[in-house]
Amino acid sequence: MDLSFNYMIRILFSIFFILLVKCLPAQEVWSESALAFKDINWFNYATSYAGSDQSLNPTIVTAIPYNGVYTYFDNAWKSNKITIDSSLFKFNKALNDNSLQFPTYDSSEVYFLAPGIFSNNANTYEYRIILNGKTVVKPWTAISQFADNSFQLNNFKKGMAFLGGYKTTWNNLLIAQIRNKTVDSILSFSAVTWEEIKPALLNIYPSGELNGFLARLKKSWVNSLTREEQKKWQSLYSKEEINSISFLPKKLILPAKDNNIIFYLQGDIYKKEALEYQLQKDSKTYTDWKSNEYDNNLIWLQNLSPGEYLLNIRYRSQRHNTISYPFRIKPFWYQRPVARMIFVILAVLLFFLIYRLWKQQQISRSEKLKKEKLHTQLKSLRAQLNPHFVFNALGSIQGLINNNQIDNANHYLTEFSSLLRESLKNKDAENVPLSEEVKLLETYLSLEQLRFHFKYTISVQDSLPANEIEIPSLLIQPLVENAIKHGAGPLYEKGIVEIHFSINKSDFRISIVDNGSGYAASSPSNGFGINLVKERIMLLNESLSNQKIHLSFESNKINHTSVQLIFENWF
Amino acid sequence: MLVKAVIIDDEQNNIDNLFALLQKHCKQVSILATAKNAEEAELMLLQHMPDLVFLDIQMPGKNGFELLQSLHDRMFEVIFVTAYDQFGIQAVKFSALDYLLKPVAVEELKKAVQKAIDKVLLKSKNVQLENLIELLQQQQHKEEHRLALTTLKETRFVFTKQIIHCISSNNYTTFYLTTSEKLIVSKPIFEYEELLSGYGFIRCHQSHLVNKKYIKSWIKEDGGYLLLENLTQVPVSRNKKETLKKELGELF
Repeated sequence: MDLSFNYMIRILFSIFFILLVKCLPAQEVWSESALAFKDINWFNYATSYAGSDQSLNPTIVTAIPYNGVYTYFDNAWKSNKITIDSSLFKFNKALNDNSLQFPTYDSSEVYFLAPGIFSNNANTYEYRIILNGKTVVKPWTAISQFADNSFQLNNFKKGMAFLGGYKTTWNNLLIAQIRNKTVDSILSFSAVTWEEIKPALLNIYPSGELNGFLARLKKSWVNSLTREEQKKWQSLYSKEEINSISFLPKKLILPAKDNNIIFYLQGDIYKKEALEYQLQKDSKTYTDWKSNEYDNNLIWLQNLSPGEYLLNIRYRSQRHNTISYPFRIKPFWYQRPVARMIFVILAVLLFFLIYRLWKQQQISRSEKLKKEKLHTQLKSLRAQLNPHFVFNALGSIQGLINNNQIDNANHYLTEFSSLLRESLKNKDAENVPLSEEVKLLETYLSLEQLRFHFKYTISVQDSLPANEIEIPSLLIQPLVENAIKHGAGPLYEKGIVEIHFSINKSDFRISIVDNGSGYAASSPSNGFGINLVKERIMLLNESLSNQKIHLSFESNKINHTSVQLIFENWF
Repeated sequence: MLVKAVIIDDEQNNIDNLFALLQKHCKQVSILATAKNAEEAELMLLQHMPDLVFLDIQMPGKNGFELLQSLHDRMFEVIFVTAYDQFGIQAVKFSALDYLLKPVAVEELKKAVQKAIDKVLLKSKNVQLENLIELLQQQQHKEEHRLALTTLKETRFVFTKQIIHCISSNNYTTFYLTTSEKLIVSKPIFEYEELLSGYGFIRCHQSHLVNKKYIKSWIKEDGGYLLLENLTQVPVSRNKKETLKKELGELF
C-alpha cells in the first residue's frame, strides 16, 4: 500500500512537471558577445560575399563559424516558419534583399561587419538586432567599434565597422540591420538562423566494394545515390529491408570477412574534428565518442570482429543531434554459438579423455610398480637351498665314495646336482609344473634319507594332472625340510614323512605329515624357513586376485605333525 | 654289435669320467678316440668315421655347435654333454636331440645311448641334427626355425607359425597345425611352453598353449576364453589372465 501510494505521487508529480514545461513559451534566448574585435580568431569564420563594392555604400557582411563543415544550401529562410514583421523592414531598393540569409550550424556567435562605415562617418549610421523577425532585442545603437588595420576583407576598404557578435538558441533567427540616422530606411540587413542539422549517410562501402567507393570519389559532388548504387542494394536486400528515403539497407548485414567498412556522408566536411562518432558493439560501448580519423566526409571502421554494432554519428558543433546506424558482422562458421558449443564440448571431452588416460596410466603405473615390487620380493624370498643341507649332502656323498659305494655315490651326486641346478636356475617363472616339483622333492628326500634313513612317500592323487598343474617353485621345500629336521630325521629308521597332493573340487591341497613331535615342541623359534614360507604366501596372496593360499599346522606333540597347504580356486 | 663312438670335450677329466661310465654301463659302445678341441675333432672324425659322437657344447675356441656347422658330412648320431648352458639345451631340445648334463647320471646315459644305437641301426640320415644346424645358421630368423615333433610314427619338423595351438593330456601334448593335422607327442606341455615362449606362444590355461598369431578375440563371458582363427575355443584360467593381458597388450 505504502509503496503504491508513493508511486502514484511520483507519477502525478511527473505529469504536473510535463504540463508545466509544455505551457511555457519556447525560450527565445539571445546574447551578445563580449569579445573585442582583436580577440576573435577570424580564420575560423566564413564570410558572406556581398560584392566588392568599393563605393561608400554601407552594407553588412556576416561571419559564420566554419569549424570544418561547410554547407551552402541557403533555404534556411524558407524552412523557418518565422513570419517577418514587415514594419521592421523598410528596404533601400538598391540592395539585393534575398541574398542576405544564412544558416549557422554552430551554437556560438556570428559576427556582423559593415564595410562602408568607418570611424569618420560612423556617427551617420546606427544598427539594431531583431529576434525572429519581430522582436527588437537591441534597439538602434551607435557604431563604436572598427576593424583593425590588419584586417582585410575582400576588396573592401580597411577599418570597417564591427557590429559585434550575437547568438540565439536553435531554430531561432537573428537579423542585424543598419540605417542612416537621417533617413529612416534600412541600408542593409543580414538574417542568420541557428539551424539544427544531423549528419546523413549517403552510402556504405564494405571491404568488397572498393571499386564502388573509388567511383564515388570521382563524382563526389553528386549528393545522392546513383541508379547503379541503388540497384546494388536492391539486389542484396528485400524492399522491406531498404530505407525508402536513403535507399540504404535499414540494417547492414555483412559476412565475417567484410570487417572494414566505409560510411560515406552527405555534405562537405573538411576537418576531422568536425565529425564525431561512437561505436557500440552488442549494446556496449566499443569505441567511445571521438573525432573522425579523416578530414573527409567518411568514417572508416576497420578490423571489426563479428557482432551487433550501432554506429552513432554527430557533428561536433551539434552534439545533441545524433544519427544511428545499426549493422551486423556475421561470425565465422566456427564462431557461431553452435560451433562454439561443439568446440567447448569437444574440448571438455578431450580434457576428460586425456584426464582419464592420464589417470589410468597413473593407476597402471602404480600397479605395475607394486607388482614389480612384489615380484622382486618374491624372487628374493624364493627358497635357497639351506647351506647346512648342501654341505651335509656333499658329506654323505663323500662317505659313499670312501665306503667304495661307487654306484651309489654316482647316483646321489647326480641327484644332488639336479637339485642344485634347479635352485640355481634364475627362473622368471614363479610357478613350476607339479611333476617337476615332485621330482625335486623326491631328490631332496632321497638325499636326506641318505643321512637319516627315514622312510618317505610322495603320493599324487590319480586325477591330478601333475604335468599341467603349476605351483610356486620350491614353496614347500622348507616345510619338508622342517618335517625332516624336527620330525622324521631324529627318529632315523622309525621316521616317516608322507607328502600327499590331492584335489578337492577347485582346491589343490598338499599335506606333509611326519611322525615327530612337531617343530614347536623341539624348537623355540618357528625356524627361518617357515617364516620365509609364511612371508612368501602372504606376498603371493597379495598378487593373486581370486586365488588364495592357506597354510596351517597341526600337531599332537607326540607322534604326529601335519602341515596343510590349501590352494583355493587353483583350478 | 659295437657302436663306434668318439668323445669330444675340452677337459681330460670329463673325457676319462665319461669313458669309464661307458665302459662300465654301456658295453655296446666302443670309444675309438677322443679330442680336446675342434681342430683335433675334425681330423679325428674324418679318420674314424664314428657312428656316435659325445660332444661337449661349451669349449674354448670353436664350440660344439660351431664344430658341427664346419663339417661337410654329419653321418653320425650326437649326444650333447653340457654342464650348464641354457641356450644350447634349448636349441638341442628344439630338434629333439639327446643331451646329458654333467655330472652324467648313469640312467640317462644308458637311455641316450640306447636311443642312439637304435638310430644307428636304422642308418637313416640324421635329420634332427640337420635341423639343429639349420636352426643355428638361422639364429636371427625365428620364423625359419622348425620344431621337431616326435610322434609314434615319425619325427616331423614344423615351422612354429604352422602351429595354431597345443592341448595337454598330462603326459602327452597334441599339436593342432594350420594344415588341420593333429600331432600327438609324448612330452608334457610345459616343455613346449618353455621352448615356444620365445616364439609368441602363450600358456593361457594349464592344458592349453596358444600361438598368439592365431588369436581372433578374447571373449570375456563364461569365465573367459580365446577364440582362435580356426574357431576353436580355448579356455583362459584365472591365474593366467594377468599374464595374458600383459602379453596381448591392449589388443582386446
